[in-house]
Amino acid sequence: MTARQSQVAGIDVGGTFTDLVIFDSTSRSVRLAKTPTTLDNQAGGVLNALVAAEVEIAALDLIVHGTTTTTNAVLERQLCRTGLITTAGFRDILELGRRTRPQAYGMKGEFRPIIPRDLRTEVPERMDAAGAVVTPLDEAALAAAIRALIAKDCEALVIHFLHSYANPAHELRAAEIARVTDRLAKVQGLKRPLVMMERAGGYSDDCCMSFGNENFGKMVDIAGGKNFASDLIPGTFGTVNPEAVVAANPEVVIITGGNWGAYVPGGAWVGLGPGSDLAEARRKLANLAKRPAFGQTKAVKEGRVHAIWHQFYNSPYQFVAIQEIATWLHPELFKDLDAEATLKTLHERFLPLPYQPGYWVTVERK
Amino acid sequence: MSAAVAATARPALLAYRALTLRRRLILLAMFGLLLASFVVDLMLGPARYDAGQVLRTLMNPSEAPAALRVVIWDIRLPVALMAVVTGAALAIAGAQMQTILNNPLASPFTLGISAAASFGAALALVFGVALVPFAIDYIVPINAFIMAMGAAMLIHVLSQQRGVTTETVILLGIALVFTFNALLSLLQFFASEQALGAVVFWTMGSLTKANWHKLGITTAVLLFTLPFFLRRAWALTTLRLGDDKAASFGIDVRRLRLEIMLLVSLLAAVPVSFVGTIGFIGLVGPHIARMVIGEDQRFFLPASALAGAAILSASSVVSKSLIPGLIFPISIVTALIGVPFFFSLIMTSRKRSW
Repeated sequence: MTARQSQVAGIDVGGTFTDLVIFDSTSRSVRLAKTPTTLDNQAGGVLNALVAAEVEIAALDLIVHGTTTTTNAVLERQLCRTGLITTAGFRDILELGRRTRPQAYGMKGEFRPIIPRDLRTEVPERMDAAGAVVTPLDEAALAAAIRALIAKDCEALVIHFLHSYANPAHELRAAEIARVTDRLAKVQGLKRPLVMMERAGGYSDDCCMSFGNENFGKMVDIAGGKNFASDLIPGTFGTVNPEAVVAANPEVVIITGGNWGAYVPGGAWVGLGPGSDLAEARRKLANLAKRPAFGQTKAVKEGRVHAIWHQFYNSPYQFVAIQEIATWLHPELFKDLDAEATLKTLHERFLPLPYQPGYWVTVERK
Repeated sequence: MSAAVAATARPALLAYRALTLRRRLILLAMFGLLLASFVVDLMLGPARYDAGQVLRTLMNPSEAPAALRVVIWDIRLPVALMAVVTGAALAIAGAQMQTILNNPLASPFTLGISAAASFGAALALVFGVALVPFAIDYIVPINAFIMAMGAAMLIHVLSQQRGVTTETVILLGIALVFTFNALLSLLQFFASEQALGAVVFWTMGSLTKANWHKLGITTAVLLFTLPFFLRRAWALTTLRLGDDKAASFGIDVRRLRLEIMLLVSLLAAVPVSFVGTIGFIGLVGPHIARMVIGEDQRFFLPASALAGAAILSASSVVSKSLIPGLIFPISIVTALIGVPFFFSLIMTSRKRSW
């Protein structure tokens, strides 16, 4: 074999046979192989085919793999218990179908949808055919839907939104949030740490503006925490009595921050955001943690004081904030979850800007 | 002759003594109310400590558990004291404005001083404009203070013009209120969502901004101005008889007005710049005092201070008790609690209240 040789393998795993084609670009020749599909583990049939074609696996540049197994599973209705989450108003689209149906005319006929109706749920969201957002994705409804499906013993989850071919943003966001809520829902007797969310700490002298069961308050709930002010503040925002914070003794304190130098120059706020100075942010966060409301709390004593970019509140990237908050609240459970990687991927796939860190910071542990 | 005078004077003297005694007792009662409200303010809170714990912490802060010490000394005490000091300062400011302008509508709020302070604060909160380049940590209160003093000085300068009566000054003040409110709305129109929220909450007033530092400054201003007012008590009482009468008693009315206006501006601007707009106290505190104790400045002044302090202290209690754990903006509470009380006082008082 010469060093310039280039080989590509194409594999199709069918219900009966596994087909293999090898294309050699130097000699411009094609070799074929056909072996029985090994149903218990399809990899066996693939390897057998490679052996049958007498190919040196290490010399392959590319393996292209396709299979009809999933289609067959769908056609034969041999799926595990699967739940479906779709756009509000489209739960019954599986039954409605198009005009192709078993009996095109007549009143009779039976159609069994692949996912039964009780395992199909809806969340408020909508894209139009051009990919523009008509209704933003309701993250809380999504979390509730996932919890409900897991409670019904679903083993797999399909997230299928209208017009996602034009703009997959909602589907991808839903999938990223599901990474958090899915795991939380499976924990028996989840212990939700008490979280004090401070809105724009240090922006004014007041302590403490916080969130009710909306906005960041809702994100804390989705991420598996108990938002302290949810029971107190009837609306979205409100001022919490600092004394109530001392009395409640929260386990985690999260302060939202942004670069507000244009409004409150030299203020005590934590200047987070893309490309922010994290050392400076950490220093200011430590100062905010010293205020009377927080100084004596468990959160401060255990170094569980965090700051997060304030603008996540009105950004479609809330799922990133939810992931990061989840790792703060349940560090063991989400050991493998990397919100920064999620945000980086988001930049690479969808944004014209390069990713810059600086969206969150944690005080140094003593 | 002297015996005859003594005979006719005695009942008058006795009546005067009785009146003075009665007024002293009223002052004492008002002080009692204030004290009660202050104590309740210290005792109540979402942390639900009992009276013994609170007292022991006040007496022996070093021996109390840390959380208790922080709640009492760093949270409850500054707020409770700030309510008393701010209430007293605003009510005195309102009382003396009403006196020197001879008008029941005068108060820091109705003369545009609070509106000017709000505008100054909003300048900082919306555009980060510092009217004084140093002390960047205190940009909001300093801006508010400068605008408030500016408005007060403007009113004063205009009132010094020829042919300007006290009624004109009131109209000027109201014009200032509208001007600054319009400017404030203009700023809000340009403000980001974040800044807008900050401005709205600032204009609703909040005692949670209080700390020992601000409390110290406000108290110092109150203590600095009080001797001037007390020294001028008789002259100010005379002023209520009318400018001509006061002048005929040998009082330099213009000078008195200038002196009091300067002091009042300081007294109104400092607390407003620290705790935000609190509208109701400066207008109503003095009216309540006047209804229960009369015009005599020796009693009217302390009564106004006590009335203002008691209303704000009670409002502080209500603002944190409506929903335990939450704090309502103080000026909402002051107005909603105070107005019905004020109404009932006006409607039941058979005497002319002005």
